[in-house]
Parts: sequence; structure tokens; C-alpha cells
Amino acid sequence: MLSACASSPAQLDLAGRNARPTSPSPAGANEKPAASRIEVHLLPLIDGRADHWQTHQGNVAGRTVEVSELLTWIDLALADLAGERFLIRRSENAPPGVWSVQPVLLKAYSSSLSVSKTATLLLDLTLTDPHGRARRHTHRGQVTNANWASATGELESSWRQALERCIASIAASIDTSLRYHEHLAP
Amino acid sequence: MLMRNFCGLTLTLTIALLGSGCTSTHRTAYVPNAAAPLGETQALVAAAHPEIEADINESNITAFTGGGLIFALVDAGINTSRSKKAVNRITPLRDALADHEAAVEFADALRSAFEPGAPLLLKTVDPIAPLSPKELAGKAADMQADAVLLLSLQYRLDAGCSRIETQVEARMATPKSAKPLYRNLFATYRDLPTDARGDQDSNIALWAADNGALARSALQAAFAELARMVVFDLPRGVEANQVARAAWDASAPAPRAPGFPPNLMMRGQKVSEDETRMWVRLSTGELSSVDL
Repeated sequence: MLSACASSPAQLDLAGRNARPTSPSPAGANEKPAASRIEVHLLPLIDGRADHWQTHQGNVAGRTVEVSELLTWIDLALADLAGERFLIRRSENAPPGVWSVQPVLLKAYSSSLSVSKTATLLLDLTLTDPHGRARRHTHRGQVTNANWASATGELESSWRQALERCIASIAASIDTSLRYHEHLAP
Repeated sequence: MLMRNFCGLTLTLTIALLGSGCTSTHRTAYVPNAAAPLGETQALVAAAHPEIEADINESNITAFTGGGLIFALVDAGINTSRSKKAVNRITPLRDALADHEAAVEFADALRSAFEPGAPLLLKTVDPIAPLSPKELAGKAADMQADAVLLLSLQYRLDAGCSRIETQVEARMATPKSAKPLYRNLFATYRDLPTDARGDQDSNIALWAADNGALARSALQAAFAELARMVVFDLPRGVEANQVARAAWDASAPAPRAPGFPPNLMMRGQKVSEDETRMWVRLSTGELSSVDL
């Protein structure tokens, strides 16, 4: 009976309906009006995972996890990014003299330890300023919680939380870089 | 849906009651067929996870109190809390090893170990994702080789954050048959240098420093040793099983038994030793390597 439970892969449809995670809101007393926020060009997401991890997203308590349209899902969330000091604009190529960000997906998997499950997303981001100076940061979205039934719904929930954390970390990092740049500017 | 939930709950409680899952650990000796010797073999290497795993000392109140749903739920709560801490604690090391691909590195170690003269002629060594037995049988059936050697790799930091544990299950079969021609389990345990403060977080900071240099070096050595252990064990037919069943060697340390909970140690026979490492054949046939 138990092996029957574990044998069917969990197919997660994260890019389907209600797919977008709650983007960290830039709202607040310090929020700049949209017109004064810097436009950051978002380049297409690159899949930097090893070939053998591109079709397989780990397993939880023996149950294989497969996420359909994983890149699309992450890409949608990145396009929704917004911070206190910036707005995102999707772009195939960053024209010279603008801020741009190049995301690379390094890891995306589920795992289990004892009676818990973890969803992990690791994104590498290179932020380039208008002078061509690049800064690279790795952002991890990682959520560990109790694994009640290895059910598709609870796995999807973990993945969404992991992406929310990753996106929040990215938004904060871009804001920090822009603030630092503003201080340096004459 | 209800059935699946029930299965999941049962699985959760079973794990809570029994601790980590036990796997069958008996060695299947490879007996070459003189009339039809094996030609080329394809090796597939699957790492269980893309990153180093954490470990915990599991709470097992249920066993000590004689069982019961309440105690199982208490254990589940404690173990979930410990898992969260363990996963968060190991994160700096995972970040330092973000570009590390265990399956690729172990595949390289195997290519080096299976040099000409080794007991098998490896045609190719490919990293793959960890597949279910059914998926694997389908993949193996499509392969153009006399035999397929599947190596399932696991590597983790122990619960005390003082050593790296690596384990590989080797299973060889013909593409058309699921019955193994050979099977065994290999494990290495490598103590890492510890920070003077000795706590888990400072140890991890030490190993994560310099792009994870200490951890990378330990993993590379462990994978090379595991590959050498497979090459050592393959040609040792049924005699090795007899060695394993012989009387325990009191001079050999009792390593942790691979595939069993961490507190289960097994005695065995010393089969190889150098200045720093000793290989022990456990009474059930597996090979374990420990620091001297």
C-alpha cells in the first residue's frame, strides 16, 4: 500500500491558474512614485541546472516531484518584481546605459528529511549598472515544513513559498544596490 | 484522494515510529559466466539530491513509551522542528557548494577507478536524475550494452555537523532483466576539521569558507574512495560473503551500518588498511570505510 503511494510522481502545475506569487509590495512611506523609480531591464531566465536535473525536481518521501513549466513560472514571478526604487521591464537584450538584471536558475528541487519536506530554489542574479559594472548575488528560497501526505497541494504550497522568499530576497538586493548607487552618485 | 492522504499519514507515522527507513543490505556476489563473458557495461550515476543533505538525531519518544498516536505526533513535531534547524544551519555550506555536481564528480572518479585492467569494461559513465525503479527499468531496457551498472549516491553532513557521510548502492543487471547480477552498498565516513568553538554553526562556517574548499576536498576524496571500493568489491565473488559471515574481527572498528539508523553499529572484518583509512566488510557484506 505504501509503495503504491510513493510510486506515482507528483506533477506540480505551478504556472497554471493562480500561479503568480504575491510579489513583495513596495508600498510604504518610503515608496517613490513610479515616475521616479529606476527602470531595470530583466533579461530572459537562463537554465543553469545540470542536464540531468532539468526534468526532475527531486523527491519527497520516495515520491518523485516533477514541475511543469518551471522556467515560465519563475519568469512570470521575476517579471512581477518591484521594489521601493525600481520597476522591472522585460527585455531580450539590455541596451547600453541602462540597469539590467540577468537571472540564472541554479537549483530547483524538493527533498525530505525525517517527517519534513523542503522546497529549494536557487537563483543567481547579475545586476549591471549603466556603466557596465556587474554585481553577482545568489538568492535562495528555501522552505521546510511538515510533510503530512506528500500531496500535490502541499508540495505546490511549499514551492510557492520558496519562490516568494527568493523573489523578496532579489527585490531587497536590487533596492540595496540602487540605494548604494544613489549615495555614490554626485 | 482520501486513500492517498491515508497512505501519507500512515507513511509519516511509520517513519515516526521506526526512525529512518531501513533498506535491505545483503550483498549479491557477481559470478562471471565463463561461457558468455560480459562485454561493455554502461554505468549510470544518480545522486539523490542536487545539494548536500542535512541529518538529524530523530526523536523517538514513541518507541520508549510503547507506542501511541499522541507520542507519534509529538515525535513528528520535534523531528520537523529539528529538520528546519538542520536545513537552515547547512545553508551556508550549500551556498558555497552551489556549483558542485556530485553525480558528475562521482562519474569522473569512476572513470579513473575503472581503468584498463579493472574487473569491468565501462563503455560510458553518465550522470542521471534519481529515477523510480520502474523508470529505471525502462531506461535500462533501451541501453545498448551487455550490462548496466547503476550507482545511487547519497551524501550528507551528519547531525553533529562534524563529518561527511557518503554512501553508494551499486546494482548491476542486464538491460532485459531486473534481477541483479551484482549488488552491494558502500559507505565512507570522513571527519572534518572542527572549529575551536566546536559548535555546529562555526564548523559549517569553517567548511563553507573559501568557496567550500574543505568540504569540496573531503567530498572529492570520498567519491574517489567509493569508486575504488566498487572496483575492489566487484571481482570478489561469493568468497567475500563468506568472509563477511566469519567471526568478527575484534581489532576492526565498528562502523555505522549504511542504510540503517545512525546509532546502529555493526562489527565486521578488516579487509584493507592504509595510514589513514580502514575498510571493513560488515557481516552482511557491505563495505564501510572509516578514519583511523
